Amino acid sequence: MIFFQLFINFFFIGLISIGGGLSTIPLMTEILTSKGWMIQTEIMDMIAVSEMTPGPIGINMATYAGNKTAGILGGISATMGLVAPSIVIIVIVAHFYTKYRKNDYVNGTMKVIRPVVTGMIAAVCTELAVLSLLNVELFRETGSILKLFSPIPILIGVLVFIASYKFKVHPIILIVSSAVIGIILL
Amino acid sequence: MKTKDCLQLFASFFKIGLFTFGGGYAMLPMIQREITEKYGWATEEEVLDYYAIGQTTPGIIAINTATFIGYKKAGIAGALSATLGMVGPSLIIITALSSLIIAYRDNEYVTKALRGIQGAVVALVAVSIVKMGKKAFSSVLTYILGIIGFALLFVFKFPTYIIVLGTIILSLLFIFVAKRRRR
Repeated sequence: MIFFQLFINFFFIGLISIGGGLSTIPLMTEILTSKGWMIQTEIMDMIAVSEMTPGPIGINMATYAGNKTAGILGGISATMGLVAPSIVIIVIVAHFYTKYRKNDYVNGTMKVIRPVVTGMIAAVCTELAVLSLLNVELFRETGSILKLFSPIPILIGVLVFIASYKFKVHPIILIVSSAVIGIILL
Repeated sequence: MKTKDCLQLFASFFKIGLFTFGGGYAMLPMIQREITEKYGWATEEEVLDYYAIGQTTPGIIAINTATFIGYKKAGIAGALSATLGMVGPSLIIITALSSLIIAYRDNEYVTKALRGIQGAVVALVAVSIVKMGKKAFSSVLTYILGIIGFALLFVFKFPTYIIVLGTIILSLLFIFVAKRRRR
C-alpha cells in the first residue's frame, strides 16, 4: 500500500538524516527518483515551494513529496514517517540528556558527519545545477560550447545567490521574482 | 491539567511553525519567545541545550527541539502535541500549494515560472551549503571529509545511507581506538 510505503521510506529518511536543514535532500532525492515517485525537475519544484513557505524545510518537502505521490493522505503519511524516529529517539535521549550532551562519541561523530553530509548536499546541488543551468542535449546536438549554458537560469542563479548570501533577502521575494523573470524572459 | 498543557503546546508550536521560515536557527528566537518568555516551560539555557541535542540526533532539528520541549513539559502526549503543532502549518500550506502546482504544471506560464525558479533553487541550496560549510569545515581534515562525501555520491554513486552509516561506524571506531591509546 502506497501510504505505508511512504511512511516507511520517510521514516528511513528521518532516521538517516543528521545535521538538519537540507541534510534530508540527498536521501530523499535518491528514494523519490529510484521509486519513480518524482523526477529531478519536480524535486526542484519541491525545494522551491519548501523554501518559500513557513515551517521546517524537511517537513515541507515530505508533505510535498507525499502529496505529489498519493494526495493529501500521502502527504500526511510521509510527514508522519519523517517525524516518527525523532519522537522515539528524543524520548529516549531526554532521560539521560546531560550525559548524552557531553558524550565524546556523540560530539566526535558530529564533527565527522557534518562535513561529509555537507559534501553530499553539494553533490546533489551540483546535479541540480547541471540539470537547470546547463543544456547538455543541445550541446550534444550542436557541439557548440556556447549552447551548453542556459544564460537566463544562470543569471537568475547568480543574482539570487548574491541577494541571499550578501543581502539576506527573504526566500519568498527571491523565488517570486525568479518566477516573474522566468515568465517574462523564458 | 495535562490536556490543557498539550493544547497549549500544540498551539504554541503551530504558531512557531506558521511564522518561521527555513527551520533551524531561524526558529530559535521564536521558540524562546513562546516557550521561555510567555509560558516559562523551559529556561533559555534549557532551550539552547535541547536545540544542541536536536542537532546531533537523527531527524529534523526543529522537530527534535519541539519534541524535547513537549516531552519535558507533558510526557509522551506533550511530545506528540508539540510535534503535531509544528507540522500542522506545513501540512495545510504545502498541501494547498503543491496541489495547485501539480494541477497547473503543464500551463505555459507555470512552466516558465518554475523554470525561472530552478536557477533560484540551486542558488538557495548553494547558500545553505556555504553556511553549513562554515560550521562543518574547520580543518584540513574536515575539508577532505567533505570532498570524500561529495565524491562518494557524485562520482561513485554510493547509496546515501551507506555513506552516512559508514561514516558513523568508522568515526565511532576511530574515537574508541583513540580513547584506548590515550589510556
